Amino acid sequence: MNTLGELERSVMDQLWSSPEAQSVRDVHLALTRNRDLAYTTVMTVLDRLAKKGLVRRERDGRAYLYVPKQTREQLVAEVMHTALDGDQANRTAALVAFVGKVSPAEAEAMRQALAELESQQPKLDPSDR
Amino acid sequence: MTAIVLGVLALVLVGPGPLWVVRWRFLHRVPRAAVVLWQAGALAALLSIIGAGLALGLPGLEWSELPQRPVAEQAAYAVIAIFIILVIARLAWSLVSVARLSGTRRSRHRAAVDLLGQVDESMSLPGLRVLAEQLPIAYCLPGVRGARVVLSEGTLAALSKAEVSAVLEHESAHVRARHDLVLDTFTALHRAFPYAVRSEIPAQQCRLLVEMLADDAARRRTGPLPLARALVALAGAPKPAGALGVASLGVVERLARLSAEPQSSRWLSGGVYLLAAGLVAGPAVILALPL
Repeated sequence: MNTLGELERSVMDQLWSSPEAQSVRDVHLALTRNRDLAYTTVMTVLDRLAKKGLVRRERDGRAYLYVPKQTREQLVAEVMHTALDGDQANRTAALVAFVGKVSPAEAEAMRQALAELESQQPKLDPSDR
Repeated sequence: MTAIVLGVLALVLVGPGPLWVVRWRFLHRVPRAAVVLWQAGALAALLSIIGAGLALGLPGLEWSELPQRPVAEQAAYAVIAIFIILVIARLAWSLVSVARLSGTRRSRHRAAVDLLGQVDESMSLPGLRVLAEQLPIAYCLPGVRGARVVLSEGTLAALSKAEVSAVLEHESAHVRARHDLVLDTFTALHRAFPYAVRSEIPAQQCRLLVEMLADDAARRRTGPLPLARALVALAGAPKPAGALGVASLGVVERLARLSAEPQSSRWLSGGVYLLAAGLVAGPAVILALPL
């Protein structure tokens, strides 16, 4: 199944796999080794990735070469940083986290509240864990 | 006189009002009405400021005879008009810039998450992405289209099946109810007020209240226990050293709410809605009264 998300992912993986900048032809060649894919599809996907700011386009003679803006590790680090860190106001602007960070005292208070709740509802216990 | 009353009202709504209302613990029983109350308070403050400006300018003013008035008086009216326009323009600008900023941040983050995360089809939640990370994380990236709920493999490993569905239910409630709009509006409002009088409280309270709303949605689906366990498991999880220092808001209160029996609160929420309506109507009534 060639969904757009899956295509973007395999194109990006291909770009990440080599330190060199790659042309549409390079990427197309690598991806069609084990499946059927139109050249123009690869071109469109690369164009989308460039618009999203994930890859950089460089002119090389008459063709374009594509390079990932960040390594996979850098991108992971950025995502995790946004997910876990940043000041509260800025973080809220991007995403809504399930829980923030708690102090040891708060963690203790939470464990106590949970113990209380569990003692109220012993009948639910065995079925759950 | 009217201008003074409205000015004082605006100051109270911005300053001591929130300090007082934040102590109303019963608001946690009716989070939806409470969010509306905070919104009404902010709106009423804005209306009071505009109303105060109007009250200064309106009495005895006939627009047709303005050119014949002394220059000093004309200048005074101009200053008032400029002040009102500035208040509104600043708020509008703040709303636009916050919406744009969080929009770009979200789409950038979404693009990254789509590349890095795996689609988990067993969960039957279209926007779910699972990151191959051991740190337990759970959050949602809201948006008109293409909202995402992000979990890590660490989260899936740390939680039982029932707990995972409680977390997913919580996050989908955020996405469904567009809680991000509530939060963005308050961030914008907060930034629009001058440093000297801006209060962190309404935005903070609304952040907590939308969490409570999402908790209620999850509780209706899975019962309180899985959600409470997920809260404790994820909040108590080790965090990287660099990420410490952000005080979490009200996780303990959220948990305490889960252990209390849900009680019917129709009267309470009715009262809070009424108060909210009164707040918004207040400035207009004061403006109309012959003071």
